[in-house]
Amino acid sequence: MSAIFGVKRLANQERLDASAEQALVEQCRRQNFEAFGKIVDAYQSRVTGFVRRMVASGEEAEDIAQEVFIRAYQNMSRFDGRSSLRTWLFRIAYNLCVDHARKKQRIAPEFSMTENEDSIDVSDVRWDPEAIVLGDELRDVIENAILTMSEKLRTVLLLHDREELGYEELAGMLNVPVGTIKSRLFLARSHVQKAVESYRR
Amino acid sequence: MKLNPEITKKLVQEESLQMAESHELDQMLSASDGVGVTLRGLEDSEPSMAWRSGLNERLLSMHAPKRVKARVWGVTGFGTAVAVAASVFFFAKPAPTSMPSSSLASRASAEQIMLDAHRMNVFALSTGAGDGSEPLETSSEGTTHQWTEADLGAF
Repeated sequence: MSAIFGVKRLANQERLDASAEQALVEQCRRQNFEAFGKIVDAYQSRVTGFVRRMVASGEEAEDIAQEVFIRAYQNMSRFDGRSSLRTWLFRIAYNLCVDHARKKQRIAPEFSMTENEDSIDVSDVRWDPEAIVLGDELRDVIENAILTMSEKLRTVLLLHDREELGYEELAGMLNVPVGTIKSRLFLARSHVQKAVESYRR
Repeated sequence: MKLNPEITKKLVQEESLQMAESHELDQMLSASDGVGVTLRGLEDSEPSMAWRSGLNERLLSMHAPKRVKARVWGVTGFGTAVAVAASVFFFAKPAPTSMPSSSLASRASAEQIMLDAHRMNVFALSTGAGDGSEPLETSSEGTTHQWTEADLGAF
């Protein structure tokens, strides 16, 4: 039992391919701790990162991130494989973050575009990702921009742009039309872009 | 490349878009893909060892009671199964229709012993050789009879 979850494998972060993932899920359903440890190894960093950006408090974020894997382990038998394991884990993480926000009654201020209804330009050549060197300051600016947008926009931005979930997957997860996902993504990107432009001026 | 302000309002209000507006939004999203590339460049800090240990402990504590419970159920289940099997064996066994000969023999000898004891008892009471409450042969053993003068005079 002491060999479970090999802490020594912390650095072994790699995305699982579909067949390996399926095999691990099958083993987890038979209460195989070591198999679940491999899943934690593969996703702990991304899941923790997502939760940290969704929840302001670092300590609470860590608790929630642990809870994500606890719930996943408890409910592995319910995982039907229609979505990827990664999508399923982020769905759990998102639901826990929403529950946490409701409990804390901490509703992030809605990002409003009404202050500046001028046309939005998101095709600024200065936003060439290869031309942007992510220094510590700029990283902080982007992280702060993510934190200051509404939960709705932040969720879509992180799950689509960072975790690479598709429009349909997100629409199913958040129970909104695909068009709404696109709208939120566009507004979220605009918010980040504005923050970066302000910093660079 | 500018987004139509009317579309922007619709986006903020999360209203449905016309086909042409939707197409325009798709184009704007394609143009802003660089934001996504930049976001993917953000690093996630590794969870601490303490975090991982905490997760392991929580999972183990969640799993341990189940194992103990399973073990208890295993032991009690086995005991119950043995008890049920024994009950079935004894109670479902057909009642004997005839007494075994060995049991009859032993029963006869027991009755004979009781009958003999009764006869000896009656004999002892009628002859005054004993009060019948104790065996005749052991009643006088180990005791010295106290002769009275009348007894001696009778001789």
